Amino acid sequence: MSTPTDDRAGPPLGSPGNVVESHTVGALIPDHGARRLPRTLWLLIYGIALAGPFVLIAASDRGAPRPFMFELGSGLGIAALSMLALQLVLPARLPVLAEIGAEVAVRLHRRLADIMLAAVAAHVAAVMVADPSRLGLLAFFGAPWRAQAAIGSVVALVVLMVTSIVRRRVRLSYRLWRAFHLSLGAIALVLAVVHTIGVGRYLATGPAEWALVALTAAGLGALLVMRSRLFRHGSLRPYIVERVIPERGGAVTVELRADGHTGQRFIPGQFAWLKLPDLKASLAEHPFSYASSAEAPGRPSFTMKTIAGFTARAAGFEPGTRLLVDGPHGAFRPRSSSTGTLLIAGGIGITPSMSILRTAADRSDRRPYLLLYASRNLDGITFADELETLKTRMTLTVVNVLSAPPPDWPGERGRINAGVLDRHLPGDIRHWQFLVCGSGPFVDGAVEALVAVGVPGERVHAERFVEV
Amino acid sequence: MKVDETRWMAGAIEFIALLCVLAFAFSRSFG
Repeated sequence: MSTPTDDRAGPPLGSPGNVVESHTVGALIPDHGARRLPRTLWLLIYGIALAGPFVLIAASDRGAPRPFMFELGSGLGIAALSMLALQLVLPARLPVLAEIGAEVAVRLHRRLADIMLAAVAAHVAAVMVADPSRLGLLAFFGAPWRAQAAIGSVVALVVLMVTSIVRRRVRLSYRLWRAFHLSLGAIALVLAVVHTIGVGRYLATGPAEWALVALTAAGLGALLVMRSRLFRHGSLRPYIVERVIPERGGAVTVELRADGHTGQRFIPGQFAWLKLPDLKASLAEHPFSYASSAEAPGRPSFTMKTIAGFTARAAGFEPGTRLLVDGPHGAFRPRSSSTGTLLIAGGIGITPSMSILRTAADRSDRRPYLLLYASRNLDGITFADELETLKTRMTLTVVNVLSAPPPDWPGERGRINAGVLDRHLPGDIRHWQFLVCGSGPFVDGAVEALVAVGVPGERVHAERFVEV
Repeated sequence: MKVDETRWMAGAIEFIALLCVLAFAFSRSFG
């Protein structure tokens, strides 16, 4: 991923072939306005949670007014505390957040981290400017406990953010990082609450106390939900590994069979979290796109590039291995109102496209599908043979674009750019949908090319896979 | 053209937070 923001790790991350984030490029089109409402509604709830403490304070006995800088410092502290608690709620994969999509929630979590930290910094700065004698409190030792709690909370937050930014550089495993991240988040919130109680002003008196209790309960409750299987019975189901199939391009497909149930119904393009049921690996969760047809939810398959960690282990799964599947999640899904579909896949980003194509074939979908599939070379084309078979079952055109083709390669070479699109897109694409899936830079390039040939951004849905 | 919908969502949240903080500070000091 190219930007510092994207480099920052945030739950949930996984291995290649793992869905981490997806976003719709541009505004949502009017006939899908219904999907926009939950985001607006969700924002409204967030806004109320943020403004709530201030409203409750207004209803409390607030004592004598103080100079502006003091009050500004207090206000910033209250906002920072609310945002910190809500930061813990965002990535918790709560059912209520399902509508905005797990990956959108995580992206927002990362964006808001900056704003929250800015509020914390501004809070500290305002408090110090208002009364410079308070600088002495930063010495920690000998300082009152309310100041010590504040320093502890800020240190926890800074360590939390630094470990997230440098995680991949220092090769901190996802599992370890996640445990670290959740613990530091809890510590930061608890110490911030202790600090608030110690200060004993706005949020620690009168009706506003309820806001403090609610924020603490929401933040810690969300952490509990994240760590507890008890709350996730609804979406967590056991499966058994049927077989592991080596694929071209250094990938493997793990075929599963539902164990004691009929399987979780999913929409092609969605993803699930795979989990080993043993206690030691209980923190190890890995998101993967469903690669199989949605017509057979009892026998889902997941294809992953074997690099290290879970994916390397998955390549060695024996038939009969038990796995827990938490799914489906994600908003990357085909639209039924479209008259045709362009799928642009880069490398292992082919997996959601395979699910879409296999499902369309199983459902005898007669609409045209065009797959632009970027691979390094001929040996790297995962699913090459099956794509040939699918062509006989549906209206499918596959254009392989190779970045390192053999000299006699007659097809497209290089990258998927506007030229490739111009050569292969049909004339009338007014009611087509466009789905892009691959690494961050690949998705960026493909989206730019689509926009360059005149595809409206709001018709493009992009999904980024991140390598961990 | 890269538009990420979380950008406007985060922007809206930042705006609400700023509004709350400023309204609070002004009303407490001068209200």
